[in-house]
Amino acid sequence: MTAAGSRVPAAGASAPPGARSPRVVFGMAAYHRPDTLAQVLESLLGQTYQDFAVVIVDDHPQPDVTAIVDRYAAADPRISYEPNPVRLGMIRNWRHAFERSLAIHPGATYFAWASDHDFWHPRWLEVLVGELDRDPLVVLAYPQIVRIFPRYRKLITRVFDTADIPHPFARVRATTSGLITAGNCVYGLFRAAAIARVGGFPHVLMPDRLLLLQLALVGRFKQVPDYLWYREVSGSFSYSRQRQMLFARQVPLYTYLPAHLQHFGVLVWRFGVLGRGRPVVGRLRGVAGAVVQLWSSTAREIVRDDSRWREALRRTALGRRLLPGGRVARAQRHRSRVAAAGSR
Amino acid sequence: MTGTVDATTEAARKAERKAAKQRLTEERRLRRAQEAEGREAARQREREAVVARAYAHYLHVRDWARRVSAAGRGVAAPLASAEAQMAAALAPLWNAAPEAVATLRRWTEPITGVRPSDYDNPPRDLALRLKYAVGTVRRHAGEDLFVEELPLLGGFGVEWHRRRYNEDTVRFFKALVALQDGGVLAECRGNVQRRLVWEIGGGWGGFALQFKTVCPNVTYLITGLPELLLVSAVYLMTAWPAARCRFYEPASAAELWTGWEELDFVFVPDGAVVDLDAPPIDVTLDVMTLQRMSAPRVALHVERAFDLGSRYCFSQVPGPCFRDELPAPWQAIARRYWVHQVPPPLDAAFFVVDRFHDAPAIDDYAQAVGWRRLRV
Repeated sequence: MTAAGSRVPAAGASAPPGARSPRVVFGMAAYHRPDTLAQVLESLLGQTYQDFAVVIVDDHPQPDVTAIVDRYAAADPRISYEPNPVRLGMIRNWRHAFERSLAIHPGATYFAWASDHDFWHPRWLEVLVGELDRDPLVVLAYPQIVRIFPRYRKLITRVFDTADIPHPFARVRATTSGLITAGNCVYGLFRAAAIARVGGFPHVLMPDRLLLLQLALVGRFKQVPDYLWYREVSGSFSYSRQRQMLFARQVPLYTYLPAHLQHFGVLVWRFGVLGRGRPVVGRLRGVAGAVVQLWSSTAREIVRDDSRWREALRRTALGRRLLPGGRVARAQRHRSRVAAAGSR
Repeated sequence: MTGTVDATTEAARKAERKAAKQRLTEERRLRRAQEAEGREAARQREREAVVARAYAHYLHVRDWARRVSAAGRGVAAPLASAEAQMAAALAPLWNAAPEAVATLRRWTEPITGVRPSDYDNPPRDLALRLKYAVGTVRRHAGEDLFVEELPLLGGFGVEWHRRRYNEDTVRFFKALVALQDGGVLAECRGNVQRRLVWEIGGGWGGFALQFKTVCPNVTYLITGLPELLLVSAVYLMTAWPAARCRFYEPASAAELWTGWEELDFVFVPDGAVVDLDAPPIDVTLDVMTLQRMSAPRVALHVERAFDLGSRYCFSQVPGPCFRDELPAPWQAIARRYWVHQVPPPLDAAFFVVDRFHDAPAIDDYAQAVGWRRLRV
């Protein structure tokens, strides 16, 4: 048995009685990145705030990954490693990461999903724990990010914050139509209880966006102005890519509906029928929140320059005449402007 | 008849009033000239006092530098040719007259390559280039990290909105902003715990001045060649007369760090880096110093930074950014630290998602922050 294997808690196991839970758990949903895993683990273990544990659930276990984890787990007892017997797909693996993290460390107050290819600045945890400790109304804190492109890096200066918005519907509207990039925010630091309350990672397209919408109903988001997370860019967004990544086997038919309709359905079910938001958000308010989300996101879909209906229309002759160019055309215009400026 | 007398009297009164007014104007002009002379004399006295102070510091630092050089502590390992050339160009400072110390900044060209004479009558394109660079970085990072060139000891630069700056000022400003974007500066700006920062080389003291201005709650260690310390120590001690400075003494090396939290600057010669025994260092800084050094000297400094517990290692090298291969100093740093290049602040228009494989061409400075490795 490997060193890491010897430290794998049995399924359903939790921390031994009397053992103190760390305040923070990182749940890493790994998928075979031996090229970056060692650096990722070092970026987590090198945090200036040390009261945390790392639970790795591996959806594509291979000997090279296990060897890396073994090396670090042998030196640091805060690491747990659990290979999945069969591939779960991204959504189920993310849910599994959360559930296993809280099962092994039930006393953890804060939780963060971790990937096996992004990097956490040594001060990430120290700064974000400080934010969540400071304001109990904040359920999610995240920093500014640096995006890692194949040949260069870029500071992302976009700001999205609902820390000063007291009304839940206003927060949902802001989260729907604001400048939020869910894929960045979802790697922030959460109150574990808030994720458990809303039912965890949902089985829909753009699940990160829906998770944030649900959390917007029950609490506030805080963005800190420091660049403390380094995110690798591996490809551009597409719905077909999402379906392939998110679901391991059969892709549910409802994922072919527009994403905001899927989100509306889940919000009504979880908040209106199951009453997940209670006592913070009652059933009626939950349904009203879902309607606010549907209204805001539909309006956004109508006006958004790169929305699906516009892109589909642009493929027709009429659409090319009626609609000015989308993202690709903008990029081409920009390049020609840069070239013209260069020649001058 | 009466009318003529009245007119004459009126004319005489007018002339009298005019003369009185002229007298008053003349007196006011005289008074203003005297006040201006007084102010100029006071400024001159102040300048002379500063120069006298600088020269006194110079004599003190020169004696110390000669002493440590004689004790074999001047240089740690054979110098690279670039370093040797710089040291040779600074050699006249070993016997500098008070007039030379009074214009110390004009002797720093061998250190950074910035020519003071370019700023006597700065060409328009230089002024515009600097203004554009400062404006871009200020828009990105805000005003509070910008520290202008002091008029002290022959300080020079172009002036814009009552701020004086030159190529060194701008480069240091960019380094500070990179430290902020790299998540390092916040650690040093807090007022809770005193931080220990080590700058390798130290240049002429310009970056140390900017860093200490922005982060007063740090103890700033400078190690370098005796010729360099002769410049940086005199400059910093003159700029901050109240600064608490300590110099490495071979005979009492163990006492160097006693009560270090109370110190502002600690000066250590290059030759003492090998067995430097300092408290845990928070940040190590290389502002275009390592790139002059030979590979063994670079490795020596990086190893010492790691052994002394430095959590971060910052490095600035000449551009371009985003090269296919890491610059030589960063390759040495990468053996002990995970190197993360800090992206320069770009115009948003450069960011085109569909072409993310193409690196934008930026022929500026490249800057990186190394995060300490756990398993080497």
